[in-house]
Amino acid sequence: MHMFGSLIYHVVSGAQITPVLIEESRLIMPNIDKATYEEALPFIKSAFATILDRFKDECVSNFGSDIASDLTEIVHELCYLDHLVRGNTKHSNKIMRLSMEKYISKIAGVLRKCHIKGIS
Amino acid sequence: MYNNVLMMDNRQLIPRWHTSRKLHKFNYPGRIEGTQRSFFEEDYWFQKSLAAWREQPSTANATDLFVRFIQSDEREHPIYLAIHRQLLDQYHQLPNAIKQLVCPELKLLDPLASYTTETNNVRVIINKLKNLVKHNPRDSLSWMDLGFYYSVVYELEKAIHCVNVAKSLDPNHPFIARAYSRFLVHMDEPEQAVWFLKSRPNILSNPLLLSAYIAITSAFDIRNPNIKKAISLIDGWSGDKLRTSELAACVGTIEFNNGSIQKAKKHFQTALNSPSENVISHVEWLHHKHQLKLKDMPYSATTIEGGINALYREKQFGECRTKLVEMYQFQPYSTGPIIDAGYLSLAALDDPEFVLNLSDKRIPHTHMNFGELNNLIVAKLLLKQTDNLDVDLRLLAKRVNVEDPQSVATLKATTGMAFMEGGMFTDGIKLYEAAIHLLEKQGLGRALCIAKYFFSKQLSKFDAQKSETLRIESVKLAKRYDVLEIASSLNSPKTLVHPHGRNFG
Repeated sequence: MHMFGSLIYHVVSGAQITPVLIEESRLIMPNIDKATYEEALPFIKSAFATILDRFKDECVSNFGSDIASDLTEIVHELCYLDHLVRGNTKHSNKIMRLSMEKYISKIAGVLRKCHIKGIS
Repeated sequence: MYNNVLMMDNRQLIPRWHTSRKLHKFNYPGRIEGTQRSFFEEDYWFQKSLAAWREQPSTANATDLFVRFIQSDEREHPIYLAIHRQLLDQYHQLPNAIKQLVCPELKLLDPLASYTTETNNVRVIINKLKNLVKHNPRDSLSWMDLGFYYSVVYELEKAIHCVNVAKSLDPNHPFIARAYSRFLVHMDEPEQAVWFLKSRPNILSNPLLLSAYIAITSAFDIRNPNIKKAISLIDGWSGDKLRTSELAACVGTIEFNNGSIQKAKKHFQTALNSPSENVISHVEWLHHKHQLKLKDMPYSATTIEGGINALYREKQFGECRTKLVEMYQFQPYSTGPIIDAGYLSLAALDDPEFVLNLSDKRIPHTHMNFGELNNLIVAKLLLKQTDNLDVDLRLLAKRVNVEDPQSVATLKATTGMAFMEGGMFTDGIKLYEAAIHLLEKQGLGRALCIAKYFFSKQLSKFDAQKSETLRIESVKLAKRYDVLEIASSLNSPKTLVHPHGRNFG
């Protein structure tokens, strides 16, 4: 799931999400490598919010706000840092939450919108 | 607890509250990060990427290899430096995300070096943060930052909501727990802060949480803190020494208060191995307040608070006031530095206009706390600006803490001053005498000294003999309690004021 989200991020912005996240987290908390997972997680979540904000801006300028909103939602849910809440937020059941059905459908929707707008 | 920023009476290491983006910069000044070595070069995919780049040093291959270096946190490797140079040369052709990797820059909502205190700018930051938490509701740090900025503009209901959300999201995280407990201290709820910290399951294993707990319990005399667990945690700590710095200083302070000077020095020396800003300020305070000397004392200008105490001790009150304003921009949710700056303006520098410019339009008077509003009223009285002063006085009366004798005495004195300025001398003198009597009864020496000194100045116009008696008494008290601004301004006559200072540093 995470890799699929990272792939979408990569296609749009030119880099995988992991190194960008590492660099952004390190800006907020320079000694993050010495912190435990529990201590680092809120800082990484905050860095993730900043990255997605930037990603959305880039998507808006490339594809318009409608497609940007869809892409940001997909990356947000697929790459969310806390594995306990990663995936479809509407489902609490783990199997449903981690199902790729929603994202395949979303991507199909994005492709259709791109086709209508003439974006190749 | 009464403790001004200026030479606090009972300082403890109550945690600082900074926004998440400025936490590290302000908490750990001059901290040098060590580099970490890994065995990434043995990785098959790294070798493959390196070979591809050597064969064809294109931007794509350089980016791929560069990303691997970042993921391994290898910044000193010669190949990393060569690739970095190549990417910097091609910077303008790079995609935005790669630009951010090549030349990273922290996105700051508050662009100032310290914190924005101008209300309109704070509102802009609040709107940006609201937008951020709307799209990322699980980002506890941004919720806490939002609470921070609501506190700056004194919108406490909203601040309470935001810090509660942050606390509910990550209750055991040291940054959140410390910020939350500091917020509760500002809300005059230290007991709740102690209860909250005490109920964290990781309190005995996390030195940052334990130091906050010990500092608050000790500063507010809530209970006698047990330092044995703290000492064993420090002794057994194998992680980053920076984390145990405040805990060691907390233990040192308790030992110092108990009279064990040698033990205290040992703990302070441990704390200074890798100190936070709060520890440096604390050691500076001990040096100026109690003449405690340690090996390798930090330079006083390293921290703002250290500078304030050093300037005060040198009787450079003008520079000290400037530093206090700087301190306010460093901790804008706390009006303590503003109150002290106002106090110095009125008591030492005879400059009520400064108080007016600083406080009158800063926030609505209805939102102002007791100390700042009191200083503003006194400044207005000195400048004969009595328009709507009755409203301010009524607000002041609403803000008074009836359980706090100094607060009650201050209200009496300020009201007395207003009466005297309005021509009702007898009533004014009665109120002032009542204030002095109350302070004498409670044994509040420093406040008594200030009250007597300014009362003597005011009375000099009407009763020279009584004025002289009060002046001599105030000089004795000033020497005893180190009230330097009064001791140094005895030769220059001033009008009676009774400024007030109360905050949490």
